[in-house]
Amino acid sequence: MLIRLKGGRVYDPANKINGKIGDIYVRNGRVVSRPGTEKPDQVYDLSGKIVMAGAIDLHSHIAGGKLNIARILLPEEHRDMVEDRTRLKRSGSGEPTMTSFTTGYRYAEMGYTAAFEPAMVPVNARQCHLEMADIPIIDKGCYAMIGNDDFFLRMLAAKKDKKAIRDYVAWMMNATGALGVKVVNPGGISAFKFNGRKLDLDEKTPHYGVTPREVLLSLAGALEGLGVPHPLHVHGCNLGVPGNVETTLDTIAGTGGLPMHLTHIQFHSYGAEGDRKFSSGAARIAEAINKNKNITADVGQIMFGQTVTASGDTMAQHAHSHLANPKKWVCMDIDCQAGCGLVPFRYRDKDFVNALQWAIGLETFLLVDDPWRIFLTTDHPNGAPFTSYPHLIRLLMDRSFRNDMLATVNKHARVASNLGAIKREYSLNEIAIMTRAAPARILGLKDRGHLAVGAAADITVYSEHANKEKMFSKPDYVFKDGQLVARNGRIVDVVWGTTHVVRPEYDSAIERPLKTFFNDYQGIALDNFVVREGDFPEDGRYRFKAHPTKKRRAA
Amino acid sequence: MTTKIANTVRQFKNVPCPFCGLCCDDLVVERNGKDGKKLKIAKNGCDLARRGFEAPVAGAVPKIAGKKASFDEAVAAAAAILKNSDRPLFSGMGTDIEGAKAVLQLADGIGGVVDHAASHALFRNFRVMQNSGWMTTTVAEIRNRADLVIFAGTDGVSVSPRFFEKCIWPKKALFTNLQKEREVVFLGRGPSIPSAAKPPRGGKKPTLISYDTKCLAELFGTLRALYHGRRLDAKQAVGVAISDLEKLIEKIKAARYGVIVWASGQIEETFGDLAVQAIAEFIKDINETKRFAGFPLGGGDNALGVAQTCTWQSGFPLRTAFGEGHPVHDPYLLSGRRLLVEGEADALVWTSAFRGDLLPPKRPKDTPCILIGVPGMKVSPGADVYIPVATPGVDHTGSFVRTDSVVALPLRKLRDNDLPSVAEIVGAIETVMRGGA
Repeated sequence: MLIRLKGGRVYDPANKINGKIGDIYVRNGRVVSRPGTEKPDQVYDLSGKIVMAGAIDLHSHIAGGKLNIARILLPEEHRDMVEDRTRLKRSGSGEPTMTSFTTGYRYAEMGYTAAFEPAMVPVNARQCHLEMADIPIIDKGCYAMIGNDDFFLRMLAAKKDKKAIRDYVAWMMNATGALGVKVVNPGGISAFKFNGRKLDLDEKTPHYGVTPREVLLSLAGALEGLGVPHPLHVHGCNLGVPGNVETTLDTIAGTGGLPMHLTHIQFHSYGAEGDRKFSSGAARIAEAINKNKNITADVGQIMFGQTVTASGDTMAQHAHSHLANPKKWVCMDIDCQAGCGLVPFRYRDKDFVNALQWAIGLETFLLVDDPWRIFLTTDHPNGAPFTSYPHLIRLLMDRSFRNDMLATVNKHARVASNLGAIKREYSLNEIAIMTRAAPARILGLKDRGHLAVGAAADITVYSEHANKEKMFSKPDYVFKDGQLVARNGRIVDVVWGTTHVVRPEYDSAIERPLKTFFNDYQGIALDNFVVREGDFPEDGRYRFKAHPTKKRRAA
Repeated sequence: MTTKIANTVRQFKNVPCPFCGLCCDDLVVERNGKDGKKLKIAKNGCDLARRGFEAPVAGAVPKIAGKKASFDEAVAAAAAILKNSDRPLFSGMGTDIEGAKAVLQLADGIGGVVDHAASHALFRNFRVMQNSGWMTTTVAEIRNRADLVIFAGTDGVSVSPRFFEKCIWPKKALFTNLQKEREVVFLGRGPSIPSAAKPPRGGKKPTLISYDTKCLAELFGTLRALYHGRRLDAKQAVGVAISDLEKLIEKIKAARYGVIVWASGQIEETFGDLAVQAIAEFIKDINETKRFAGFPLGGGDNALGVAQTCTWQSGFPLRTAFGEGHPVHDPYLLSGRRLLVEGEADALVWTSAFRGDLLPPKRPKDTPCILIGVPGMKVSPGADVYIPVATPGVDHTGSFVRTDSVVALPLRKLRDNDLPSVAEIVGAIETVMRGGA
């Protein structure tokens, strides 16, 4: 079937198209070139409409064991927010810890066609894939958590060479079906199991005696050497601790030029100045990002309201558990590999710290010059549910609205923040970069996030509106792989997306020590740890697509 | 993974065993070539595993009202019962994750209630998560890290016979000297299979503290008070001398990484969730200054896998009703057992794909029962429709979640069996109900 999307104003920054009026043709799920005399089977008249590729969320906790713990922890959230089943849709509930089917519908209704789970614990990978198979419509993928696992820390402590580390990282990505690798509080989750409560960038971990900096450089180097498109996804040290801006700046300065993606950087941009010993470090962080072209970041914006923080960082989560609202929380040590902590939070606009966190996130967005290197996230659900993206986009695009909002938050936070003085307003082209072109590029998804001939026909069509929140909440049309799935913000068809992975090459000699380690210590067989596509039913919900790596470099 | 021995026997290695919540995955299972169906455990395993893998494949005929029927007839009869039902209960739910997904889809579509046979035990834990949270750990952490393991009201082995072999007394550990450092304390009774819990040569002998086993919550309340240095006037509490409890507190204070293991299904007091909460809050207190963690033991019949699936799909861990068009949860009112006893469910779909002795509970005579059960399952009187089902991990592949709720293991297919899986049976019923072929 040939579809013509006629006369829309196209924002396709990957192909340097900035608001040009034109046609897009779609056939068999792909963007195709203008056909000769063939008459399209369907024509959508998009005059006056805005056309972009489907949006991509590169950091959103949408699946895996910790999210399920959060759901069990918060039955009240699921009681208060329910989703009815329809002829097309399965039922569901919740918002910050939304259920699987609902997650797919909500993203698609907002014009998002892909979202990536950033914290897959390797031993939990199988469950993560089983759960993602129940997220309809959108594409998915995960980053495997490495850097607190005992096998890796033992290698690092034994000063294993670069090749061995690369082989391990590559093996683990293959074994778990990962698109990237994330490190969470490098060494810190392991340290917490030895009763460590704090770990600075150059502090030695208990038992292994390695530093977070060594963990970061080793993993970032391994990914670069393997040619994995997505750089190391870093949740740094000292999350949420006032004064952690120094750690973050130190992390950036110490990368030695290696590419790194600093995630939810808002939570890592706190100064310790002022009467309340809490201040914004956003300007300094933004300056460092502007200067260091090897660094990318997503913000992890907070929004006011009830949510739950879900993180692998047991050290930080336990330290913040006294802030739990409602007063209940879970921490878990996980199987010689990781941990997880769930602490419900209610961010309040009249609270000094929360209001300043909100301002710090926005300052970061607005002070980083290059929209190709800063990404729109709320670290769903940690800062806020992803459903707040349209509101967030309005805050970025509309200065007077932003200042109206700023006027309502805690007075002292307002004074402590520079936000009111920042004049910048994001353009539609910049929004298209940070929510489409840039995430696709940094994840190595060559046929997503843009609209050139050959690209996947993940396409979102909006009506231009002065109120950008309105505009981005309910796109007129959303196409997934060429199929119309949502219209005016309502699901009209349910399809099943792809799980994106990379499968970097490795020397299978790494399997020997792994087999021994699994036998002796992990307590499950290596053979049963490895997630294989053939383990899953052939029901069309487990479609994996392996993206090419760049050429592996000599170690 | 498979080796051919002689012509008639095939050997499977590293076979995951779905017959208790520990899901050991080191079994060696041999298949006899004569009929291609007979399985025998050649290495590792336990009584539960033997009973599961070596169960005879017999009596695999669908029945309607006790009379033999074809698969299609049985499916049609099941669909007819469900069509006439306003509030069917789907329970038992001894199935793989794939089976659970199929049941949830049907229940969501027709407005059923979903629960699991083990939910009484499960909800003692979930209630604590819903109310106050906890700090827990997993198998490999205990195995490598624990220097003190306290069994609270369980002996471990009566739930998972190989728990000590896999978790407490492995051959090696990363961070603990197994001989010199690891110590086990039993609160309640000693191990029901003493050989299965025996420390290695040179290892510390376990300590046994007997208490009034109906008072686990009170025991932990007392321990918590002592831990915080409160002086108690009593000389004893719940049948234990305070001096013995003080000695235990000393051990707890000296431990680097202590673990408290409980099996919520074995807690003897009525409000077992309060006992779990007392343990969980004690562990949180200890973690103010040092490391300690809890470990809930259970998870047979893939209870955690089914609960996880229900949670990511509906937002709630079982005891969830779809009759209002969206998930509605109540940890008490929607207990499957209660719904049946009170006559608030008007049909029962009971699934047991792992074992023949997980029978449907008592129910009013006029509540029809559709039994999806393993071959040879005793069809209780009143099972209106019986559909024999294949066993995941034996007859087909599937997924299973271990008792710690983290590790999902792949279940393997070891033989060809004509029987359909839970997912296939439930899918067939759904197709008929939708008016399909």
